[in-house]
Amino acid sequence: MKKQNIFIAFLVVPAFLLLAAVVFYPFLYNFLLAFGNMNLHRIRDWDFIGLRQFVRIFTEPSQPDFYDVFLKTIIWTVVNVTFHVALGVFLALILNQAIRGKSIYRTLLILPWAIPQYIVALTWRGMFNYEYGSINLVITKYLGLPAVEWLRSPTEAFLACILTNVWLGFPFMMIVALGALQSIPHELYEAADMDGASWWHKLKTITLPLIRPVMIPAVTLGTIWTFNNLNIVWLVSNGGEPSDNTHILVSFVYKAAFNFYSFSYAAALSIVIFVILLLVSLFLMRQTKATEPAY
Amino acid sequence: MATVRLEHVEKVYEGGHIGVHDMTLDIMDHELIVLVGPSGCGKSTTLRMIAGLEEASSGSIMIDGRVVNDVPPKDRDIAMVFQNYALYPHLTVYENMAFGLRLRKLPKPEIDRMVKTTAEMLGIESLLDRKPKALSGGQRQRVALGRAIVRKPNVFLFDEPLSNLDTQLRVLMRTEISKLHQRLTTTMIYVTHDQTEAMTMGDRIVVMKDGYVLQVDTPLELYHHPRNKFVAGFIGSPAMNFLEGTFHKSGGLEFRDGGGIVLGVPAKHARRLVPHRAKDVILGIRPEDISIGTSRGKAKVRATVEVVEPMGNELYLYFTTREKGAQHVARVDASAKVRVGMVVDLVFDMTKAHFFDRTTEQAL
Repeated sequence: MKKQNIFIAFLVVPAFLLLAAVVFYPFLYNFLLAFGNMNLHRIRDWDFIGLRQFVRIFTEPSQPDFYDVFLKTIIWTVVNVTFHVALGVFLALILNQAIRGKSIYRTLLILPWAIPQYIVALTWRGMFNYEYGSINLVITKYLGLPAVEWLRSPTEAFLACILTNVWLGFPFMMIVALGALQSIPHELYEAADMDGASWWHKLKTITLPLIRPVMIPAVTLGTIWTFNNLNIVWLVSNGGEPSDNTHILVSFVYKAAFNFYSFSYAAALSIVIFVILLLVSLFLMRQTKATEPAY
Repeated sequence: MATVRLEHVEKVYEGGHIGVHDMTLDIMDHELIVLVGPSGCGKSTTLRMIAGLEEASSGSIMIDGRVVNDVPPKDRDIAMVFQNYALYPHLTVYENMAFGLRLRKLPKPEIDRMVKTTAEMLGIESLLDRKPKALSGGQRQRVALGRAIVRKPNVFLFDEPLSNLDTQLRVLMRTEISKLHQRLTTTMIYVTHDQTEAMTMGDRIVVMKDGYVLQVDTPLELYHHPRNKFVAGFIGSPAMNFLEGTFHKSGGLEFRDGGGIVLGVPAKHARRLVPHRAKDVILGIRPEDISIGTSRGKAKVRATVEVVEPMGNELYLYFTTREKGAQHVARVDASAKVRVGMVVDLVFDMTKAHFFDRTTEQAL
C-alpha cells in the first residue's frame, strides 16, 4: 500500500510542480500584488495598502477610462464570438453536405487557425496600411470608394482589430460545430423528411438543438479567449493606437504593467477581469444547462 | 388503405454495386408483408425506396396506382418507424407526435385530439410530457409507433423496429404490432432480419438475398415448400439440416451421401425425382423430422451425439454422422436418454425431406 502511494506521488509530483510554478505561484503572487502598491519606484519596498488599488480602478479617472475600456471589451467579445459562432456553424453546415473537394475546403478553412497569432496580426496590420495595404487597394482600385483610415482613427482601428480576430477565430467554432453535426443520427433527418419538415424546420428542431450541448462549452471558452485576447488588439493597433483608443481590458492591463510599470494596479485589474470572466462562465453554464446530455 | 406495387425496381449505387436487382412485387391493400433476409440483402434499401428516402435507379414504385418515384416522402402518404426510434430528443412525447400534424397545419384542437387518442391506444398517455431521454427502450418504440400512427397514413413502413429491444420486450411488441395491424387494417411493410418475427407477423413474407427476391409466400408455404436451399435454411429455427449426396436407383430411389448413409426416397417424392437421378443433390431435413430410432424397418442413421441442449419441453441434439463431418441437429423428446458421446440410431422422416440441386440450389 505504501509503496503504491510513493508510486502515485512519483507520477503526480512533476506535473504538480510544473503547475505550481506556472499557474499557482503567479496567480497567488498576483493576488498579493493587487493589495499592495508596487510600481517602478517601489519594486522592493512595496507595502500592503488593502483595497486602495481597486478603489482607484473604479473611481479615479485613468487614461484611457476604465469604463470606456470595459464597454469596448464587451463589444469586442460579443461581436467576435457572435461572428465566430455564426460563421463557424454556417460553414460547418456547408461542409457537412456531400460536396466535391470537401477536404480541400476544410483544410483551407482551418488555415487561419493554424497560423501563429502574431504573424496573422502583423500581416493584417500590413494589409490595413492606409497607402500600401491590400484592403485599401481593393477599396479604391476595384470598388472606386475612398480609402479608409484603418489604423489612424479610433473606430476604424477597433474595427480592424475585430475583423482580424473574426478571421482568426471562426475555424475553431467551425471544427467544433462540424464534429457536433456529424454526431447527429441521420435517421432524425429522415424522420423529419417523412413528416414533411422544410430545411428551416430541420435546422430549428434538429440541428441547432443537437449541436447546442457541444457549442455552449465552445462558446464559453471562446468568450474567455476573446475577452483575454491581448495579441490581436496589441499588435494590430500597435499598443492601443491611435492614442490609447483601441484598448480592451487585457491590453490596458498589459500597458499598465509593462509600459507604466504600475504592477499592483495591473494586478488588481487582472483580478477584476478574472472575477468578471468567472461570473460570466458560471452564468453561461447554468443558464444553458450545457452539462445535461441531449438524449 | 393502399396497394403498393414495385415494377422492375432496381437500385444501383455509385461505383456499380447493385443493392436491389429487378424487383417486382405486389403488396395488397391491408396486407402486412415482411421483407426478410441477412444484412446486405437489399430489404432496407427496398423499404427506403418505397419511403422515398432513396431513389430507385430504374423501374417504378406505385402507391395506390400512382407512380411515386418523383414524389417527395412527405407527399407519399406513408409513415415510417426506425430501428433507433429517431425521436426528436429535445421535444416532448406530445410534441414528437404532433410534429408532423403541425407541419400539415391542422387546427390545434384536432391535433390535440388525435395525439391523445393515439397515445391512449398505445398506453402512453402518462408519458406525453416527458422527453425521449426519460423513456425506456420499449416506451420510446411505442412513441415512435405513435408518431407514425397519429398521421393516419396509407402505408406503414417498419425498418427493423424491434432490433434494439431485449428479447422479452421484442416478443411483446411483436404481438402489439400484429394487434395494431388488425385494428388499423393499414397496409404495412415490415423489414427484419429475424425469421421468427417474419414468420409470426407476416401475412406474406418476401425472402431476399444479395439483392434478389428468392421467394414470396405465406409463412407456412415458405416453411413447407421452400423454393431453394437458402429459403429452406433461413426459415425455421433451429435451421434445416443439409446433407450432400446423390440418387441411386436400385429398386426404389435411394439417397446416398457417400459416407455410408443410404436413405430410401418414399414413393411420394420418387416419381418427381426420378428424372434427376443422375444429379448431385442436397437432402434437406428439418430438426423436428428426425427422431431417435426405435421403430424397426425404417432406415436409420448412426450418429454420435456432440451437444445436448435441453429446452425443457424438448432436446436439441447436435450430432455428426461421421468423424469430422458437418454437425446436424435434431429436435427430440425431452425424455430421451442421451448423453454427449453416445452413439444413437436416428430415423429421418423421408416423407418430409426436401431435395435441392447441388449446383443451382433450387428445390427439385
